[in-house]
Amino acid sequence: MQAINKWGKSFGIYLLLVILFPFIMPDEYYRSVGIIIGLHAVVSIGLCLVMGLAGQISLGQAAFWGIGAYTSAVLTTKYGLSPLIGLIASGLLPGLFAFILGRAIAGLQGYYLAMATLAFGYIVQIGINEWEPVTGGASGMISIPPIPFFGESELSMYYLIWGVVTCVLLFSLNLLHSRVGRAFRAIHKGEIAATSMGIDVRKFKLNAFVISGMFAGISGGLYAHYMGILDPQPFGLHDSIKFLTMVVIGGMTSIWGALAGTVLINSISEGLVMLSEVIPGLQGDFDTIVFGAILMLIIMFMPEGIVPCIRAAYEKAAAKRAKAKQVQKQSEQVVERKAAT
Amino acid sequence: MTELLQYVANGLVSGGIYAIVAVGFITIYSVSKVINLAQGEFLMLGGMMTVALIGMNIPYGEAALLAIAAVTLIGVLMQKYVIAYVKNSNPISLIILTIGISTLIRGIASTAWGKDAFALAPITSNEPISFAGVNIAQQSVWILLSVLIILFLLWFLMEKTILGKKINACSINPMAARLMGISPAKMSMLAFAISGATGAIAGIVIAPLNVTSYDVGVLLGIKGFSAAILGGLGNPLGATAAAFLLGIVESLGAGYVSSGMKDAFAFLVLIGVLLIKPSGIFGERSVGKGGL
Amino acid sequence: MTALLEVQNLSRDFGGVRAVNRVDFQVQQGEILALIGPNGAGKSTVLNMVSGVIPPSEGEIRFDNKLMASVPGYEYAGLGITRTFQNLQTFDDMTVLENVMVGMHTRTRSSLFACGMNLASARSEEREMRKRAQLWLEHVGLDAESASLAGSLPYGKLRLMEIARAMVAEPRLLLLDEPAAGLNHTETLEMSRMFQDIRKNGTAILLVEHDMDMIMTIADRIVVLDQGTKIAEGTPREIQENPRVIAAYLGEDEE
Repeated sequence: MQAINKWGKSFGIYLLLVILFPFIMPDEYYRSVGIIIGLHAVVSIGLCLVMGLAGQISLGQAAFWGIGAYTSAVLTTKYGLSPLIGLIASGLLPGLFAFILGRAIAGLQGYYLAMATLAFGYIVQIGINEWEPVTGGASGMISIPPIPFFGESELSMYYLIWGVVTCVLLFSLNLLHSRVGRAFRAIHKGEIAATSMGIDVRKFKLNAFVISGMFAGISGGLYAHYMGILDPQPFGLHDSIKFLTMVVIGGMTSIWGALAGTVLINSISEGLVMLSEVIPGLQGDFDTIVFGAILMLIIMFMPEGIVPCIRAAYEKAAAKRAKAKQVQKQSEQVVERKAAT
Repeated sequence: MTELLQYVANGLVSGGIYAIVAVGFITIYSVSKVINLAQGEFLMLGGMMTVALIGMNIPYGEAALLAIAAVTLIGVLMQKYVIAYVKNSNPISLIILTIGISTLIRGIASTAWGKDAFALAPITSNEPISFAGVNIAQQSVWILLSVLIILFLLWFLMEKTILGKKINACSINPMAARLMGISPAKMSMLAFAISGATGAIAGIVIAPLNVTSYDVGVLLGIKGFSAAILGGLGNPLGATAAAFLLGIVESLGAGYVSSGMKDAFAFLVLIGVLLIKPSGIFGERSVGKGGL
Repeated sequence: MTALLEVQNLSRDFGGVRAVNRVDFQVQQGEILALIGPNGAGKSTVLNMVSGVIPPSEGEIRFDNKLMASVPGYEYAGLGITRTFQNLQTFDDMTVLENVMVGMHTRTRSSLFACGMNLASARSEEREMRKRAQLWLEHVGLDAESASLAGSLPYGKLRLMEIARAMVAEPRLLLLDEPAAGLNHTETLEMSRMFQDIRKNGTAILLVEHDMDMIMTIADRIVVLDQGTKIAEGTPREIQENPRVIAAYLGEDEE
């Protein structure tokens, strides 16, 4: 209850922006950008739960995204199942993968965890590439059916995706201000203290990992049906790092930060695409220069990320105003008392 | 039998390269307690810069030397201006930081040189040497030779010289080292220089055999890290042995199972090791906390 | 009557150095037992073993007749052992209230799903947690700070917050590691009074402390450690007159 009041205002602004965006930018292209941002947001919110709250790291988040995408794509195109069943499976299977991987590495921390997830990401991408009879290998898959009803236009797809984003956002925010979320945050700050409060650190880390895998998977499934075609390319290290950058720039400990980071990084990407049309010499993954630089600079100069920094500044200003008000009140009282005597 | 020997020989060559990367990780980690996830990029830079310099009509030898010097300098600058700046942050931040550096370097490389793969001419002729039915490229001999020389020099430096003792002192107890007039910051910089230089050399010698491109560093980095963990962080000899083992396993897997899955084998080994024995099969030595 | 906590032959080595050597003691239901001794006597190590933070090298710990050796650390709180820390372990980026609510983890059941969906069951549990946490904050006198971030509180108040956080779990045994360190005289007095209240309500306390005034007023019995070994046990009066204890403390003073 209090949680809702806490972010009531920002939530209102969020809803308004989401609903109005397709009409502010009534171009099909921007709607498709909006869809991609929404899909990325689901992944990065999940990653934020793992990194910011449970204090772990995953450098293979795009792999869960890919597993989700291929699960639904294969089920619908090869076995003719309905996209709805495909989508459910695309949440469950990556969750299962995350569970197995997470169980295995739940005791790992820091560098070991980073490397294990990095390796996992590679294995998945290699697997997709090599398992040609099912995934179509490097050439990919085509004619993945769209989602019924919503898949008919960019606009309805946009609202479907952002509906999912909103659900994921609400779920995560609720979680954050609950018994489970507090357990996550406690683990992040100190595992010994958390354990002595009765928190099963391994179990909760695993939970966070599985949830993030499922979020990424669902987003992947939606991505597959939205695009209609798939190839292994977007499910590798490049995109894992892109997700990482989104979470880091927005602020690892903030769900809103992950959302803001997603919008920001995608806007930067769009800007870079436009830039590359103007400057002919640009080649290769020059967007990774920006991502790398952002990761580096944020850690060096603003490790909390943008959203918590803005919030801190805002609260500071609010406190200052409250104090000024109090001082004013006191001086008024003094004046009144003087007047009375 | 010949086939098996051939695979083992191939495995030894790539294992040698992983050994260099692994020892690079350990050198930096032991002094500064940072796992430099940009380690693989040193190799990529060594190979790519040499290719680029040769493209500018600079002779092979000079190009290689220039590239090694440049990568060493990059290592030093990285330590001085980035790593040292965030010295006391938590492991997650350090991971993100070094991942950021590695991403940045990779991005710059792909922008500067494109995403194509380049081949570097072998040091001596392309003609393979035949020995008991096993064909070995001459370049492989060069690779193994340089790997062994580098490993020997590193061992000599760390175990037999005053400088090595100083580095060890910083690794064991930075505070005490500082009291004795050894600067941990300088030693840390030196460690980055050493890994930069050795990484660049490895990148150059391997380029003629496997083509080089902007993204070879990631895979080499992960595999080197796998070897470092397998051997036990802080145990260079164990890591070297593990690296050769990894190379052979990978080569056998590629030969007998599927060549497309070659890289997956190395990673499965890594994950397997992490599950069974995160402290490495050859045991850990004075690793310290450093967030692990 | 069996003891609530029974420690037998407890030892702990740190890399060949014996920090705690064959220590025996018992904590009865609802008593305050103080563990004292010069610096480095191994008091905190004993507390860490009793709370499951580090495993003993040798010996047995029984809580409520249950052998604790195979119990994982996170189950201690649920069984009824909670603790505070000498070098505060607070969750700085949570509010004071949230910190205390973490303490209620074992007393609540809502699943991840229920919490994320904000189900009615999770909401009512959350309200209950909030209420109880608030109650304990009032007990320790921190109700005014409940919405502040823990990181912004001074040392003394954080100690109180840790006590509230340990107490909301309704433990049967509360372990306190130097709760009065860094507090002034009045604050120490208040804290002593609070511990007596806690005992009155049935929670036993195992207390590691340097403040002799506090110990002599509130402890029912005292166990004295010196260099990892138990050298005396008895009521405060007995301990004050014990020549070995005096020697141990004087020995320390000479250094």
